[in-house]
Amino acid sequence: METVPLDDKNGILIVDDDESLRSLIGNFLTGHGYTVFEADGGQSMRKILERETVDVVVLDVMMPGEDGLSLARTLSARRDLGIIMVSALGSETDRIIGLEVGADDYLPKPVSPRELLARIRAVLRRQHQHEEAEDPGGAYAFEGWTFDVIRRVLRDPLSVIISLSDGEFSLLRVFVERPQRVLSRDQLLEYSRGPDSDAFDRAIDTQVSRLRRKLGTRTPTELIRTVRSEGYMFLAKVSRR
Amino acid sequence: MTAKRLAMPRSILSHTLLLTGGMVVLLTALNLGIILLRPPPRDEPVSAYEVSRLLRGEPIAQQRTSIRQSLSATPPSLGPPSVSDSLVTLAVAHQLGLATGDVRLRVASRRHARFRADAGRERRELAAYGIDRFDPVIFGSFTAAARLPDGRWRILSHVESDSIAGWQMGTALRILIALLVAVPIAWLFSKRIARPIRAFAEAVERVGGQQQVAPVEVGGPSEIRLAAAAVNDMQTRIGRYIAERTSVVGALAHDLRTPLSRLHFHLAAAPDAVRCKAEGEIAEMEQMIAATLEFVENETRERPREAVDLSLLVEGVVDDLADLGRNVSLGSVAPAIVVGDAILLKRLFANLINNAVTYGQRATVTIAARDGEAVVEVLDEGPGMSVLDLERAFEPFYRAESSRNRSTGGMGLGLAIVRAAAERHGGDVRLANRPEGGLSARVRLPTL
Repeated sequence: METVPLDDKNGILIVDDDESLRSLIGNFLTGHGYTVFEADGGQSMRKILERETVDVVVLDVMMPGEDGLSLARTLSARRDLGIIMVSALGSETDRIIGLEVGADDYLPKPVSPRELLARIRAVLRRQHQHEEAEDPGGAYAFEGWTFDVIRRVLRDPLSVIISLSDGEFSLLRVFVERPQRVLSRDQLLEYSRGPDSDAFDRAIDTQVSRLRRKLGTRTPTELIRTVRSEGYMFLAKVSRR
Repeated sequence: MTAKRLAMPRSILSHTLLLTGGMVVLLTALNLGIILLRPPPRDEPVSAYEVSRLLRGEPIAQQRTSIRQSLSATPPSLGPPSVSDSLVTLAVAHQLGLATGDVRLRVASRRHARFRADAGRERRELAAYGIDRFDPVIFGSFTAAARLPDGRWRILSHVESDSIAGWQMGTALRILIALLVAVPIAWLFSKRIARPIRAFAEAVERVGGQQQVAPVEVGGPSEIRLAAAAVNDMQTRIGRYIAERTSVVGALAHDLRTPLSRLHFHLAAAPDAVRCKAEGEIAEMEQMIAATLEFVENETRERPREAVDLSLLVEGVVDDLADLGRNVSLGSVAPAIVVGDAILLKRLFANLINNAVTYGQRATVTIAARDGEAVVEVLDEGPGMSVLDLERAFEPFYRAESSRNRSTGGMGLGLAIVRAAAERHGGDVRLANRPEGGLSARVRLPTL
């Protein structure tokens, strides 16, 4: 399961005004082989970033003084830095704002250790793989459709919102990020859920067929082709918006 | 604006005064008109001289058709004369140059005291003018007779038509008609006065329980304007109160999340058996917090209004639940597009269908579209709900007894969110027990 090599010790910076939670997360991550730094606010965060090698910042949204959102905005210029927002608000709007200011991922509180670990690994993996289309910002367009990845909104050519389940959303995201390429079921699984996922594999064909049906209600031409014994291919030309 | 155009006071008080005053003036005018324009009751008196001329067979200036003449061999049989009768008889006999015994005269007693023959008056006239100039008058019915030279009697009889009573009846009838004319006019104006009150009541009705609804329009008569302003003030106060309450609830729920996070990390070192159980508890608490915050957010957040494919959305919710192994299926599905908030709509149907599969074993979902509205029906095969639960099911934090006793029971916010979401989209939601058993939840939403 471990895809991130533990020998190059990744630096994780935890920014949270709650000291005990900060050290709890710190101890946990140290135990999993990361080099952990802690900051109680924007000022100490910047100091640590100047001195140390940090790969991922775990950023609490609700902090006195400079809040997590404005800190994330200042950090988003640094492409080498992964940002995971942690918020006690946990609402959809909150998530969208977090991703829009440049966070790579967004976690609602209460954060479970396993979940945090999985997200940190996913962010690190993307940094390592330097995926061409992993920038979470922005929207895609194909055949008159628009697909806003941050807002998780798919609109048909008449701008009507087509609601997607989480599985369908991840799948479509994988397709539009890699259009006109044959993707095996394993690839679809890994790209959409990460290698740690365990619940999804059986459902991939169901998800594809549902996605295909939803797209088919508006576009009569084939958008997702089944490539026999290989997988699926997204046929439409995709442009970034 | 209308106040300026009409340039008259715009208050219910002044309108009522105008109406009452107007009605009094109208009715008085009608009645006066009737009384003044109608001919007065005809009841012309006959003088003793005229009676004597008629008895002589001579005409009188004012011909009276109601006086009948006849000839008879015998004098009419009359009752005993009154004093007044005797005095008038004397005058007539004198005019005819006959003895009083040859003249008979009786004046019928009058119903109206005012016209009753007044012996005192005749007596005074006789004393003052002398017998030659004495000419009393007779009002009303009378019978007079005089012996002719041939020994027969000429008899006059005058039966007064009861013209006073007739006049009264006629007048009363006309006043009644005037009243009948006045009543619909009064009704019409009363309705005009009541109209702004009715409109006000409707506006207040629209405000309802939803705090975000636009305030009551301040217009109409001054009293209504005052009332509307008062209602709007009250609405603002209620809104502030709800906002305070929700922010307290929200802050509380929110603050619980940091200690829950700590708990998670404390547990990371615990043995697996303990950790799994405890994480289950944390997950349940988190569910309650999430439900509470979601409810608070629904109450306060500004929602987008975008075209959403409702049918695909509901299908998606059903698919998601089916993926989780829940017993749910789709019935007939008609395409429907609504305008609203996709996230909120998704919550609406997720809550509703989740309830159905949790408490009703299995759920069937159908979507119909007709007359500009989409009807989504969620049918389950559970025990249904008691009448009391049906009434209160949509109240926030209300939980039916059957749900309270189960580990599945949440915060009692699911249906509150469903109703708030449906109403926010201009629709409604109804729960009903199905005759064949189970519960039916029917959501109606206006379509695009």
